[in-house]
Order: sequence, then structure tokens, then C-alpha cells
Amino acid sequence: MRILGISALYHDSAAALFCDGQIVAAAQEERFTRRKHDLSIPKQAIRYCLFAGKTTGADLDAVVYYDNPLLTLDRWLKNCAALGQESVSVVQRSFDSIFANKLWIHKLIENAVGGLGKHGKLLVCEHHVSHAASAFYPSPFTRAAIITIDGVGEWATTTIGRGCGNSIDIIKQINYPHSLGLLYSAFTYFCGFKVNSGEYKLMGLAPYGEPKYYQKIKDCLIDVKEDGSYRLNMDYFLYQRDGVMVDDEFGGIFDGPRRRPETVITRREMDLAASIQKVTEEVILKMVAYTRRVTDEKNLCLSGGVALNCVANGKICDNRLYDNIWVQPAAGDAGGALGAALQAAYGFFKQERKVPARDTQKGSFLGPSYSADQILNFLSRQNASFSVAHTSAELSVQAAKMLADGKVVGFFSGRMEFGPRALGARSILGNPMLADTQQKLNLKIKFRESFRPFAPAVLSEKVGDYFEFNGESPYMLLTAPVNTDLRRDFDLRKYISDSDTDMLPALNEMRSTIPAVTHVDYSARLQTVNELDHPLFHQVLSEFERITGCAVLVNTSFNVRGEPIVCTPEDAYLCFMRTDMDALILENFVLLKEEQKPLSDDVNWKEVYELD
Amino acid sequence: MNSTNFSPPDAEKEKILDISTKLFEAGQCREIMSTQSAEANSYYCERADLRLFDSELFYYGFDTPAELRNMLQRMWEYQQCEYMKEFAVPATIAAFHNKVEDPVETQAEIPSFIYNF
Repeated sequence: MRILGISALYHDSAAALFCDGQIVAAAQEERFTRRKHDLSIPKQAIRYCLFAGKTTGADLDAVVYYDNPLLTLDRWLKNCAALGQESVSVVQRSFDSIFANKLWIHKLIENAVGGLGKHGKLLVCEHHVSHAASAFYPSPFTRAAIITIDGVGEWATTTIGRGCGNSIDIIKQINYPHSLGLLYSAFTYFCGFKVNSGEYKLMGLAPYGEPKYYQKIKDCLIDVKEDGSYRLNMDYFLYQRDGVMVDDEFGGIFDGPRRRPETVITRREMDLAASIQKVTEEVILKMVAYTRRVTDEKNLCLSGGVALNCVANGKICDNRLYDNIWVQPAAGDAGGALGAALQAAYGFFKQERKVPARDTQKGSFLGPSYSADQILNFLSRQNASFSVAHTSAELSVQAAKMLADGKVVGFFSGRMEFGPRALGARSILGNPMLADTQQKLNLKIKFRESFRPFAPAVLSEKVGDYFEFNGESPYMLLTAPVNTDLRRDFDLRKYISDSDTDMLPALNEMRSTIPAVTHVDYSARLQTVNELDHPLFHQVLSEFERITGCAVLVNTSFNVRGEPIVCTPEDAYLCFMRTDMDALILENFVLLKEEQKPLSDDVNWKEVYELD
Repeated sequence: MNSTNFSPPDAEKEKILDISTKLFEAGQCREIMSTQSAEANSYYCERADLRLFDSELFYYGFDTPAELRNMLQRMWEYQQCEYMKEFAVPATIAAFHNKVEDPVETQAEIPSFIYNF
């Protein structure tokens, strides 16, 4: 049975193909169109999935969309009715999106796919059921509790449920407008970052601050019950009626107006970030504990955009309420495409579900790959200078030597990742032990002055040598502290005072023996690399350890600020040539920057990508 | 209606705003805007009690206005929201008047400062 799942029209459009019990392919549209968080009908992702599955739209058994357009319309109209005349702005802003697009999703998708499966009609799956399915079905659990938290689906913003075999049962939910995701987004907006994309920056900013607004948030904005359920005080939020998240009264309780984007980040924003992060963690931890009580399940699955909050996920692990936790790597809307397909297969068509010992996400390497011939043809057309490694061992040694020498290496290997994190297929790698790696990556390659450290990729079998963590974190969705014996004395207060809020000196300080991946609170956003998911990346790490004694590499996404992660060899080559990256590994082809001729007739590419 | 500036092609928007205002004045849907309350022990809704839609996954589609109108009416019957049925006809007209014939043209941008609902 071949089922195509699709997410579109909100943010992070994607397609996923599920065939006979296997996740065959999944990809976000932004990777192909080069428009970050692209929301359009994912035509190119669909085309790729059909190609990967050696199938056509006409041969599919079903096509499934991840949202119920009727319920979305219901929520939108009731929102208008709750506002009366004040809904003018909402009607003006969203009318076309609802009536010209969302209600016509069956036609838009039929046009893009070239068919709607054997039944000839589109299946639609409720948004949070799609999220829940994306969390439970690929997990290695026969049964588990499931929590989904995001901005909003049709009505639901949070759900608690249970997965068992090939069925999912949502038990409880919290509905719009009360939304933990929208609360977090409101602070993202207020702190001057973009909604839908800047939330991870707010999370990264939190360790610099003190949660001095925690009580104010609790007093004014959110009432949290002991079971983790919550209700927002809608007097302070504008998202129901206007084109922004919060009003001026928000500034009234948080010591001044919203920070304007791209201006200096002050102590206040750091404290706001720390405060909302603390509130978010409190809600989630209470919810997780309550879910354990009501479901009596020992395993937990998480999805929805809030499940990308790896700091909160790390706290859930620390809590040890569950034996095992599995988070969908594409926890945001992109993963809804996969969840919708899986829910159709198991929940609707009642396919048998086999549960192997490891998850069925395949390391989330579900996107396109490119053959040696394709790459050779491309490089030849570019007149690029390159060498060829004939074995993976040779390639690993070469990569590890360059990294040990402090070089920054673009690493393009195998199928592209599905989800927002680069996991070694489309990554930029660096040496975490060197003091200047952080700065070099930020200024010469990412073209940003980030206050966030990079993520460590560590050999799975060595993770305990570096971090206070002993499990698996293959999808970079958990944070853990750097081991005490690797830390160096560091006092953040020496760097961040009320009057001086420049975070870069603090970030550039050697806080541990692996400074490039150690945050100012000694935390790190972990990726454990195992031999099964990505043998070559594992081999590079092993070789790097053999040379340097360190089993950790810096792993950051292969892109510049504002650009979607690279997809094709051409994307990777252009990114390599436009930045100060030292080397590029395109499968077994090795390119050194010093041997390349500059790009001719290149566009003014810094204007191509809008800053995120 | 006196506070809107909709031009004639926006008659459907006007109609939806009219009904919204009427329902607002009748006090419908106000619970959506309600503020926090400390009285309840829990803010979770029991999924089984919600009765929002009769299926989590179903075949969706329509070709004619009557089909869409009927789907909307069935949903609001299931929800026991009789007052919402007033939207069924204008929503159907709005959908058919605004249908994008060439989906290639639908390239909306994600807003930067508001969650995209």
C-alpha cells in the first residue's frame, strides 16, 4: 500500500511517502524552492517522494493532507463571531487563505500530485492526530503516551493521548486560543525575533538571563494548573484579532516596548527569554507527569513545534518519569505530512504495525541523495578542482585530518535530513576544541554574530565521556550538561551586566575543553552518532578521535543565515564558494577552497535570503 | 455596517463580517475570548465530550456549491451549533467566487510577526 502525506499552507510544507510498512521518503519543500519555511503546495517534495518510491500519483492508494479544512474554517468563523466588528482585520488578512486555498486543498493537491489515489478523493487528517501519529508510529514502542504541543491546529493547541499497536486515542486537549506555542511565539515576537522561526533563538538566549519575569508571566498571562493544563489571559494577546502577537500592554508589564528586530539585545530580552523558558518547562513537566498518571504508560512520544524545544526535552529526560522518550525529529508542521500518511495506513486502512527494536525513522535521512556520476558531471561543468577518495576509510582520514587542523568542512553525504536539524548529511563540521571555531563559523560562514553555540555531534558510545547523558539523542532534540571535569571556571555575570549586554565575549570564552559546543550554562544540544544511522559520519568522528583524542565535532546546518539547508550538490557548492569554508566533501569528492577559482557572474547572494 | 471599507468585490467579506457581528451581539462564541479563571481544577477538555467533528480522518472534497454547503451544515449539526449554519451559504459563495483556477499563482508569504493560522 502506497500512501502520500502532505502538509502545506501554514508553514514548512512537506511531503512524505509510506509504502508497505516503510517510510520511503520525506522532504520539506523549502529545500527545493530555497524559500525558508515555504508554505506552498509542496510540488517538488511530492515529485521527489514519488520518484523515490518509483511510483506515480495515479498508482497511489491514498493521498492524505494533515489538517481538516472544515474545522479550520469553523475555528476561523467562530473567532470572527467572537470579535464581531473587531474581526475586520482578521477577515481582511486571512480571507483569501481560507476561501481561495485551504478549502480547495483537494483540488490544489490533485493538481500537484496528478491524482488522489485509488479512491479518487483526498483524505484529510486532523492536525494534532497527524502530529501524534508522527510521534508514535515511527517510535520503537508498541504502546506509549503521546503529547503534542504547537501553536494551533484546527482547534487543538495541546493534546494528550495514547498509542497502542496501530491505533491512537487522543484523550484530552486544550483548544485555541489558549496555546503554549503561541505564548512562546508571543515572546519571540516581543523580543524582536520572527514568529515561526525565531523561537529557537529565544531558547538559546535564555541561559544568558535570569527568570525575573517568571512570576509576572504567571500572574498576568497564564494560569497553570497542577496537571499542566493552562489558560491564557487573552487581554494581553492580539493574535486573535490583529496582525501581530501582542499589544502595547504587554510592554507595560515587561518594562517597555517590543525590541525592534536587528537592534541590540538587552538584559531585558535575556531575562524575558529565561522567564518564558522557565514557564514553558514548568507547564511541560507538569503535563508530562499528569500524562504519566492518566495513561499509566512507561514510554512517551512527543511532537508539535514545541517539542523542538530541546532544553525542555532534556528536562523531561532528567525527570525520569518515563523509561523511554521518543521525539519526532520533524516535530513541526513538516512532520505532519508523515504523521498523516502513517495515520491513514494504520488508523484508517488498519495496516499491521511491526515494531522493531530501533525506530523506523531511518535516522531521519529520508530526503534525496545524489550519485557520484551526478556530482562528477556537476563539478566538471563548474570547472571545479577536486580529488576523489576511493574508500570511506580514505575519505574519513582526509576529513578528520582537515578538521583536526582547524579547517571548517562542508559535509554532504547521503540522503538529506527530514526535519530542521542537520545530522551529518547536510552539515558543516568543525573542531570543537579550538577557541576560534565558534567565531570563525559565525562570522565567516554563517555571516551572523550569534549568541548561540553550535551543537556537538558525539560518538554514541562515547557520549558519557563528555556529557552528563547516557542514552541516545540521534536527532539533536535533547540538551545535556557538559561533564564537570571538562568544564572551566566561568562566571557569566562578569560578562553580562545590566549596563553591558554584549554576549559575544561571554560566548567566546573557553568554558570547557570543547568550547565551541558549550553554552554559557554548560549545556549542549546533543547529537549522538551511531554506526547504523550514518556509518560515514561515525567513521569521520572515530578517525577524528584517533587523531585528536576527542570524539566530538561541531555540527551545524549547511547553509548561511536565512537560507534553507542545502539540498543538491549545486546548493552545497554555491554555499561553499560564497563563504570562507575551507573544504567541501561532496560524497567521495573533496574540494579545497584554496584550489578553486572564484565564482564568476555570481548574484548578490546576500540579498537573496531574507534574514531569519 | 458602517465601520468597514470593503469594495463591491469584497461582498463576501462584508457578509461574513455582518453575520459575525450579529452573532457577537447575540453573545455567541464569546467563550473563545474568555480570560483566565482560577475556579476550574483543570483546563483540559475531555476529547470525548468535545464533539467538534465526527471523524479524525475522512475523505474530503466537493465539486459543487451544494456539496460544500452540505458538508458545512453537517459539521455544525454535529456540533449542535445551529447558529453557525448562517455562515454556510456565504462561506460557500466565498469559496466558489475566490477559487484559484491556477494554483501556481498561490505563493503566499509567511508573515513575520504573527503566527500563520
